[in-house]
Amino acid sequence: MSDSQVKTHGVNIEALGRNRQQKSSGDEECSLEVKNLKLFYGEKQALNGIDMHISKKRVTAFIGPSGCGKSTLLRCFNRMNDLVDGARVEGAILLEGENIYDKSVSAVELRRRIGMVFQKPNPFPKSIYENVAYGLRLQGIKDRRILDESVEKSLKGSALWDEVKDRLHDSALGLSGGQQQRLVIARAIAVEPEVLLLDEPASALDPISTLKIEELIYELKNDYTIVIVTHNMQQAARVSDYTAFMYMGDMIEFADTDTLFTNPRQKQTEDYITGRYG
Amino acid sequence: MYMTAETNIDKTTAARARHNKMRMVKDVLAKYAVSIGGTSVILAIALIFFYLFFVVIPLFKAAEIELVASYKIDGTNASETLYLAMEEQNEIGVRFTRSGVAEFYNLADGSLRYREAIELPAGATVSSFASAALEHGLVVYGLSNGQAVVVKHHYKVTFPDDLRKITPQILYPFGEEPITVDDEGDILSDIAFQNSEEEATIVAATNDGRLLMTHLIKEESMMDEGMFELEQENLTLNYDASTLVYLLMGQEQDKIYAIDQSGELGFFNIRDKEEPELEQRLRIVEQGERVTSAMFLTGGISLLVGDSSGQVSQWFPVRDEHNNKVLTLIRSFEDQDNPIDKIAIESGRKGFIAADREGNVGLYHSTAHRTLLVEPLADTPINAIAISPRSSAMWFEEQNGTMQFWKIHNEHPEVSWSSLWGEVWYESYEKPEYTWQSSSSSSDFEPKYSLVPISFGTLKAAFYAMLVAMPLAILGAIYTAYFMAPKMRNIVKPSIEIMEALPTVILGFLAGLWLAPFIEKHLPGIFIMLMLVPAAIIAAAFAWQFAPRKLRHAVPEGWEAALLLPVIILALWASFGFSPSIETTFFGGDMRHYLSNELGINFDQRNAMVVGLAMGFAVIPTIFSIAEDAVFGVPRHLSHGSLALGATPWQTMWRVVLLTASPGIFSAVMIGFGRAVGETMIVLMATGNTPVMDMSIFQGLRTLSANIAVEIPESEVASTHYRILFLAALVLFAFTFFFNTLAEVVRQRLRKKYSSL
Repeated sequence: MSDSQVKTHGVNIEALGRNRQQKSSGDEECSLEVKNLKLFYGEKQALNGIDMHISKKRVTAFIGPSGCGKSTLLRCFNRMNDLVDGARVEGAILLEGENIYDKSVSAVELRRRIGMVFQKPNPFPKSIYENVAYGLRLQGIKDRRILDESVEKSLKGSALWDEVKDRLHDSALGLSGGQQQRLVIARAIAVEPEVLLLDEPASALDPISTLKIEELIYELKNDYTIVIVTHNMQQAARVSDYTAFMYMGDMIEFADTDTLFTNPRQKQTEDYITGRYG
Repeated sequence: MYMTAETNIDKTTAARARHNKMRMVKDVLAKYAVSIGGTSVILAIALIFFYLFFVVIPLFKAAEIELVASYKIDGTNASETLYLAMEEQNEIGVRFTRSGVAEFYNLADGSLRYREAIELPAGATVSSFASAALEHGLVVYGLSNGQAVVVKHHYKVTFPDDLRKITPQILYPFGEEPITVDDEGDILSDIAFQNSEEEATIVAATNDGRLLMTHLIKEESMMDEGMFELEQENLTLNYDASTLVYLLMGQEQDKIYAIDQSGELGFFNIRDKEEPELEQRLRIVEQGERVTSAMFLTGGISLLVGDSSGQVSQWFPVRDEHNNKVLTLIRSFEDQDNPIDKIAIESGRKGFIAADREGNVGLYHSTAHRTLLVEPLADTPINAIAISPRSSAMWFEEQNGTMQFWKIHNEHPEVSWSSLWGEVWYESYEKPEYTWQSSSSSSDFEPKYSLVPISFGTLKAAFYAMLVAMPLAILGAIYTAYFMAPKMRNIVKPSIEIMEALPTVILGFLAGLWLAPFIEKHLPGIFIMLMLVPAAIIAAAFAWQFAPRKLRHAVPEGWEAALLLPVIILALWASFGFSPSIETTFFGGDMRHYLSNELGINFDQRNAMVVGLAMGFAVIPTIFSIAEDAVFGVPRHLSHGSLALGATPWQTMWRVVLLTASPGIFSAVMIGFGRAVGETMIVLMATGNTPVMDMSIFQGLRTLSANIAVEIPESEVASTHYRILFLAALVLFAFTFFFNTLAEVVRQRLRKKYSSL
């Protein structure tokens, strides 16, 4: 991203910074705990024993060059890697103290508690309303009143309500890319998850839409634990409370965002954030 | 960093210019080649369509007539014309007069060719006249002394100097000696006559109101082959014939219709010549109308009655609920407004000509219920009218003595919308029906060209095939695309697709010669299989959920389906293993017998079930392949999006994947249906080709495609039958065109709807 864009976002960075300052003090509740997590794609090891804590109602960003394993790690949190043929996980991830890789944990139930938004907006070929209501309908909720309320609340929560309230029953495919992404976020928060995983949520969007998504993330962390993967260091700096830098399947450095960007402990981190590679 | 303008590729050199030009030329060539290719495909289809159309269109043309000659002939006024007839070549016409003379004329100019006076007994005059069924050329004169003379107009064709020469003759096939019909010698005021190889019958009404029947039994002569001796029996029927105007006898010598002027008809059954029976008396015209002409239609089954209102009605005996034959009004033609004086019938097909009192002549076809033409041709009423044996010309005499000779162009009167698509009351049928029966051994057969039973058969075969193929193919496609391990999919998908390469003739052959007898033999087993196999699969899947975890983890994900193979084989073995004992226990040892005897269900060996299985097998690869592609083509990010929201794989499949794949699945089904509709070899070999209209799974059927394949080799080129088969092809084309177009339109629409995915 060029310098001019950073300037445009300068106001937000300050606002975020202030916010971060307020919240980073004191002991924070832990939402997810990763313990010596290893992941193999067949013979190839993609994650080499990751250990970390994800704090509740905070934004944690994963940065790192392509192929470093940051998306893979993100997908471990809601076991989307189960869907990849030949993927195998060792170690544990504790959600509220319970290992999500335990045999007794159902991936379906887990994914309701840990929502996910993908890089490319993926609304279903249904109406806007039905997209948002989808998660609730999956759980057998048919009461029109509950659905209506939830749809409105979720769309308001994703700052899309004013734009679509008059065409809730139009196809979601008619929305712009940025609107679609916010719709997908509305769809994810409609089921009231505890954690929201965002996998490069703004990388397919234009700058204005990116800005809106970032503002939205800032709003959402009041209610949700957010883990975001991003290619864009400025974005990580703007939206996150904590940042993890990953490289070749290893977690190189994990610290609060200010520290990591201003005073990295590892040379690799410094090289990366100063643009020597990546 | 960036190249400057100077170092950029120079576009101005000759080589570059040449390359650019070549590039343009190639582009233009490619464009034209593609356009030509595409257009040719459309053109080829259009040409096929137009060719079919071109062959079919004459079916719907109205009749045309063309005046060849109009003349007065010598002696027209000298003696009244009783009867006109023509020979096959439309060269010579014969006129029988009241004075007992047969005159042969050249039809083209009216010149007299030959004249012969019939030998009548001394003092007797002609009092009545009748012709036997047309093709025999036999006529009978009823005389004033109670006797009758049978003569035949015959045409001897010779080729002296290689030129065709037709010599007309009058023959006396029953001898020159008159046959005595009335032993009392009264005037025979009305007469009817029919002849066959074994017997001949004369029915006559006398002036004093008696109805007489003379039965002549031919006994082959010992001396002279070809000659016969006659044994004669005379009988008086108990009927008042004093007001009789028309006396008709069926050509099978089985019934008599005696019609009086007021329209009262007496229907006699004379099958038993010793005891003729009066079956029925009824009025055949409306109150106030009179019968003005009556004639048998070719074949001697239908009676045509022309009345004073200008209506021609067709009647034939129909069996009623008490098993009595009742003369029934079948249909009427009301295109003329004046009394119908003369009716002439076509031979070899069920058409006729009606001439009315104002000189209008109408051409009709009974089965098609079609009026082909009504035209005013004469200024005065028509005395007599003849139609040529090939129905290609007519010859009539006006009351003022003028004779007209017309050519008729009326190749396909049998076809009308109602005869193709409506219920038609065919001769001797108990009620109007949809029937396809294009030919029979008899020449005066009424062809039944209803396309309904064969169109029905086509849809029935396709329906049962889809019933088998659709669930298997679609469910298989969903499982393969969505749940199956990629490695297994790589084996399964090509294997199913290669099934499509199997020649359908082999499938048809197996279905007809192996499967059909097998099903017949193991009928209970088939039904057990239909229930047991799905039940076993579901039970096995259910049991799998409770299998020890170790065992379950031993099978890699997506390979579970392979475990079903032994289950299916076991279920099949059980189905057919138990078949005989179930058959013995419940169906008295023979289910087929049980079906037809106890339940009254007809069972054909080659039935819709066989077709459903065989053709289902043939369309499974088509549906499977397209549907599998459609399901597999659903973007992963959509299904992942759904799974990430906490949907189970089943919910994801049902709510997102199937929804998104629906256009593809729909077009798969439609294309499969189109294929089933057009399929020929399997239905030809496995259906029995019986054009029955019955949805029963145990009955055979005949499809449009099989019908064409079966009948086109034996149909005469350019005949009605031939053209109707082309019409059937056009209908088939329309069917497949419709389903494929529907598939494509829906697919395009849905694709547009989901295009931004």
